[in-house]
Amino acid sequence: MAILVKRVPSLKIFELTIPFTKINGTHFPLVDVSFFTIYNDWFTVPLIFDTGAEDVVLKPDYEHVFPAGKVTSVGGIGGAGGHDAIETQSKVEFLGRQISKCSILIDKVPAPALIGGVAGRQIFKSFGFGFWENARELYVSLSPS
Amino acid sequence: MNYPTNSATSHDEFMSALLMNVHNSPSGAAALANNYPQGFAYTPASFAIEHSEDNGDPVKWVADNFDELLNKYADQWVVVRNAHILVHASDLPELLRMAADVGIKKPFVLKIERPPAKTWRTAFGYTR
Repeated sequence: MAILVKRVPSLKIFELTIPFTKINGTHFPLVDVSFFTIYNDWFTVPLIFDTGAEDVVLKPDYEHVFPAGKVTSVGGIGGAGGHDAIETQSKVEFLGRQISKCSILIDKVPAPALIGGVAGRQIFKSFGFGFWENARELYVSLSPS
Repeated sequence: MNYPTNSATSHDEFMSALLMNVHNSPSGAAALANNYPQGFAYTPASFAIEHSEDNGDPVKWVADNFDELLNKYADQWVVVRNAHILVHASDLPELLRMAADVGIKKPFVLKIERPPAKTWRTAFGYTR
């Protein structure tokens, strides 16, 4: 006897909308991420939302406000083009939630001027995200289910 | 940036109707969504922006006025608030100290630098 399984569309709710930001004619999915420095200060910087990156990556300009790091090997797209970068750790705050020891890679990032680097998956873990390229919007759920 | 949570709770009636329609008829859910477009826009972009630490989007403001700012602040770190350069410095630690001096605990920091000579079609890949 066959069992009929009724497909029920799953419904996801997103509480926040983050519009893309236009820089030099290109729209970027930017998120604001805050970092704790060795000077006991916080600062916030815009980063590109990047699901392809595992970690937060900041441009070398930011290295001096973090604890001395260690050299580590990082890969490009699909792990290609491995090269050395600096890995450090600090407290990071994203969407009101803190990660106490977040890995931060200091590396060259092909991001336009004004953008500090990329925000990778490490800081996404407790959130749900939706992405609508044509509307140029990023959607966030603070309590995904 | 402190994105507020606008809530689904203010849309309870909509949500109940939507859930019921999803279970009964996916197309009904779509129709309902069309009738309640605000139901999906829990936090319109303008809402997220106006409740942030700044009254506008500092990146957009700097990008829109980039040439003028580059003339004045090339290679400088700046703190932008309300479409205004609040403090600027030649290095980040100095900028953070100046921001603390004027009472900003978590400054929004940008570096005014010339665009890279090389441009990328893909933002995430590069050749060393």
